[in-house]
Amino acid sequence: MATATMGSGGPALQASERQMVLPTNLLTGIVLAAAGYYVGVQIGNGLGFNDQLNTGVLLGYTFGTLLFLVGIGFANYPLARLFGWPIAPQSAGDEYRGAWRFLNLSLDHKVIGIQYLVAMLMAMFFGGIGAMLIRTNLLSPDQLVVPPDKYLVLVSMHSVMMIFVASAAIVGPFGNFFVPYMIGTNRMAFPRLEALSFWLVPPAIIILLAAPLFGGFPTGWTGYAPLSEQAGQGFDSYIVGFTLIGTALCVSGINMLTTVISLRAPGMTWTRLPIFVWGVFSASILGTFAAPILASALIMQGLDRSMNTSFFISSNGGSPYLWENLFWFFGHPEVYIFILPAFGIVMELIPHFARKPLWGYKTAVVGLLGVTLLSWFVWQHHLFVSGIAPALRPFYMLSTEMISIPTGIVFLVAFGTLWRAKISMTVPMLFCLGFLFNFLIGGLSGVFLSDVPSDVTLHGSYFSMAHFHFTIVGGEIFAIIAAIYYWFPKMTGRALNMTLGKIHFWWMMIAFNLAFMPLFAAGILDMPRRVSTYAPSLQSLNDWVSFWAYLLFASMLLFAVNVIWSWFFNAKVAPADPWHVRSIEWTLPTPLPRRNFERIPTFTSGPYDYGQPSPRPVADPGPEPAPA
Amino acid sequence: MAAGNVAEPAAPAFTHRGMPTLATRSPEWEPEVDARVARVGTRIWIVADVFFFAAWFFAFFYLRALNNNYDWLPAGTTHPTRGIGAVIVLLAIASAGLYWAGARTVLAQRVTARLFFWLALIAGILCFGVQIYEFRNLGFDPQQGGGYPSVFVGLKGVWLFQLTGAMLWLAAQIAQTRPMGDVIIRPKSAVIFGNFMVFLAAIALVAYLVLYFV
Repeated sequence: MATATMGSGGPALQASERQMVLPTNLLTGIVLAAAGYYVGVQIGNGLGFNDQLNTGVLLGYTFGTLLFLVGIGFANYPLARLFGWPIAPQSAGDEYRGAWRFLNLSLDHKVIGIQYLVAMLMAMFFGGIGAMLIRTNLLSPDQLVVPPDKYLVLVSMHSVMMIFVASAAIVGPFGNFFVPYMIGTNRMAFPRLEALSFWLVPPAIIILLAAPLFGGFPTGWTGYAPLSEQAGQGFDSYIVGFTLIGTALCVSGINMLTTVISLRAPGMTWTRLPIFVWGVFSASILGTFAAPILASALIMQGLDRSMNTSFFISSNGGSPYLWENLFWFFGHPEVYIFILPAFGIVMELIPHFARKPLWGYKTAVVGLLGVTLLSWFVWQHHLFVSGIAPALRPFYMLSTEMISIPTGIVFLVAFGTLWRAKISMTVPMLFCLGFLFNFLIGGLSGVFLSDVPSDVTLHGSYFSMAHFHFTIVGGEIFAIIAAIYYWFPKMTGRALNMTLGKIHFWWMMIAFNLAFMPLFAAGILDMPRRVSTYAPSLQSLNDWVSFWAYLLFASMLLFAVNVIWSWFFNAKVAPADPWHVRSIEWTLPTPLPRRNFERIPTFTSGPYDYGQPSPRPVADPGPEPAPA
Repeated sequence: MAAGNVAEPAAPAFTHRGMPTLATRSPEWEPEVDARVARVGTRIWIVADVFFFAAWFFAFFYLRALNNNYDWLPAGTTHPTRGIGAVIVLLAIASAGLYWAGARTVLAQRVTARLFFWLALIAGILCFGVQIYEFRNLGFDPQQGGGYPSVFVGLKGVWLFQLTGAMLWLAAQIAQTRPMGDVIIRPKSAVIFGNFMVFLAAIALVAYLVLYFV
């Protein structure tokens, strides 16, 4: 038995070389997942509930996921504790090297960030394929690609997949990778939770993709009862997949909040925190506290479908409105989980490329926290057409309109920073400016929809659909792409081709606006969403939209080519600081060293102190250690 | 693969399949830092769990107020025996209290602390057992419909699930009270787990008042 001493000044900790019975890696995880699924199905079906075999599928997915996590290695630490083995409370080393570590359990926040980035891009690709199928189907007023009953299944798959992506596509890759750097720490608070938040995502995506094998789920992403109660086994994918994503959101939030609260370096005061960290922090507040509500509601759905309880069945003492309330109590904060870190990215990048301090930093923080707070008080605007008490409508209309105030503050800060600035029109900056344009349209149409009369008229139409695509695609996705162009050199050591990047921006910006802007008109002309047919008079409009949607998808393929070529086939290492900006991550060498900081830095100034004659460095790396 | 600018790490001193490995001195992993992180993280986790349970209490009051089809309490359904519910609550409180007491003496009187932990575990297991007994003798069948039966088995079920997890962690804490075990090295982190035990006991108490008396 090999032993070692760990720690400095503390008690010695003995380590043993005990091995688990099974090697823990991705392959073991997959094998155990298959076995777990089989066992779960057998047990569930054997219980004999009158449930159309939903119990078997639910238990199959659950057991499969749990055993997948065991196979990956998540049980090793708790088992070691349980057996009383010596444990090491730190995540200093991965067993695997090279590319293999990205396919296995790693507790390194940098590896997890890249794992997230790749997974999110792949999920976005699947969701994009769904979008293309939808638009192809809508080339004709009658069914074209899929029959009407499957069209809603297709829309549901697209929407849930994209919701998965939008939930985690900023905090996952960029939050995990850069927050420790930005606050000056060498560790995350809970590396295992951080890794767990990622490793819950692949099973969730696979389970969701498996839904069509069981007939899919004809409920959209909202999963409303009684559609959910009537749906076949495909809806079990929704329950388990969404529960996994909710769990990932919650554990990721706990880790991120604790890290920012507890592990900031000396000098990294709350008023020096980079605005991107504030965006991640506020989104993490929402994720941590909203996702448990969703988890509870999904467990109720699972119980209704397996044990025949009656949470959402009116005729047996339940109520579909219970689901609507619980779902949207999570669901509306959820949309701010999407957008708050996107605000953070845009406000982070604009000062760097405007070479000006962030105008109204504290106001921006108030704006982010204001959105965080108000987002808890707006959920019932989703129920305006569901028959809520009329007396409640004015309050929720007002609260929804009020949330445009902190959102407007974010715009004010962005434009205040851009005012009279010497703007570098880099590719990340172009995407930030694109974000401001698109999100303005999405936001203003949201204010319009928050009014009860317009919401009642337009709720089920393409107007509403165009509104949230302008906020999520035109807003969040543009911010994500800005972040990829900006941070890619630091994350991968390779720079993206900026000429292709500029082509990508203009192509995507034009195609996006020409695809989605006409959908406001389609909505006003009463074209209903989630329906495969429409009035023949709207065919030209729809063909136009589909054409530009294809071009939008093609622009993303160009982006994918740029990413793959630059990452895997470009031998040239990116410079350490290609943007010449103040943020601390760019002061570190490329490729990044294994250990973030040899010595914990002391922050001496903010990251946006541009325009000063002799600005202080953002951080003091600290004195050299005295020779032993 | 040309990817991944994360520089290759030096080979760690020890590998432990899938587990973090021992490495060089690193002040950010000192017990004091871990205690701070555990304290903040546990509080956040407890607030998140408040939201989790709030959904179930919301379901209780919402469905009770609606009483759709007069099926909140279907005909023939009665509340389970209050005595059994009280025993469950008392055992949960005892388990939390014993852990709390043990965690505070873990450095000064390790053997006493271990005894307290064992007693806490026994109380928790008994609590689990009584809850299972109650589930098997409810006096109603949730499969027959009804808002109350649905909320009862759901709320009690998710609480029991969390209690099971807490008992497993408690067992791990006992295992780590050996000399140089993790609980001895990081006693403050061990104390913080008591907060969650107290929280679970509090939820048991509130659920008891709501499910048996309202």
